[in-house]
Amino acid sequence: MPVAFALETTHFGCLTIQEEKIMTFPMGLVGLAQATRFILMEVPEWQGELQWLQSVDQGDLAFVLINPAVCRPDYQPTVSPEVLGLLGLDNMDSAIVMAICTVPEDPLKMTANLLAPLIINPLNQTGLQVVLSEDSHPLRCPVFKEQAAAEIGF
Amino acid sequence: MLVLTRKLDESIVIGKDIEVKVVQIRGANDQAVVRLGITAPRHVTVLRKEILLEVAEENRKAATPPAGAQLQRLPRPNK
Repeated sequence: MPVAFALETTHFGCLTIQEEKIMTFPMGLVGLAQATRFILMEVPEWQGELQWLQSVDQGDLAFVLINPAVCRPDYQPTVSPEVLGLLGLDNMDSAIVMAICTVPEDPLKMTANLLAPLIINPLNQTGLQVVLSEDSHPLRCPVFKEQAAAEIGF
Repeated sequence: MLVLTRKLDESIVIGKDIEVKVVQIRGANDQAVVRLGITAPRHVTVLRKEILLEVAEENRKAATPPAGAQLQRLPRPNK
């Protein structure tokens, strides 16, 4: 019988969290070492390219994640074997890479953190945030190009 | 914090395989700038501290986005 519990969240109201769906970030996030357990939730219209990372310990802690290829199609961060080993990965082939988005009041101005992406092993449901070398990628990469913002009239 | 005094071209060694060397000193007093050369294995991340602090701050700003509920209405971005 699957174990589940209720979590009151800011964005999604009361959620039922299935234990088996929980992702573990053993080292938390940069500056948030205690945030170690999350679930991933889809945004249906975006088909996997945009997801929510909801903390299962803090209902008010959630992040928007984006597939970095949406901003930078050729994005291929270099991750050391030692870091991959922490996730039980031999290489990047089965790793999922997502970037944390900063969403301001005007969501069309949202940016993706390509300097410190999340590396996720979907098979053992672990992840971590790795800081790439300075100047390699932007900390705030705009997600929407200006012309798209004008066209939408959002 | 361990505090050591080094002159130009002197080094310190951390653990088995990390070396930090003073490769240049220029300027004086509060304008003084020290250039450090770091030798470390590939898997050891070396960053200016401000970068780590900036990432932490960006994470903090990104947590619980205010306009999150609007995301459903956003179209997919045009490349």
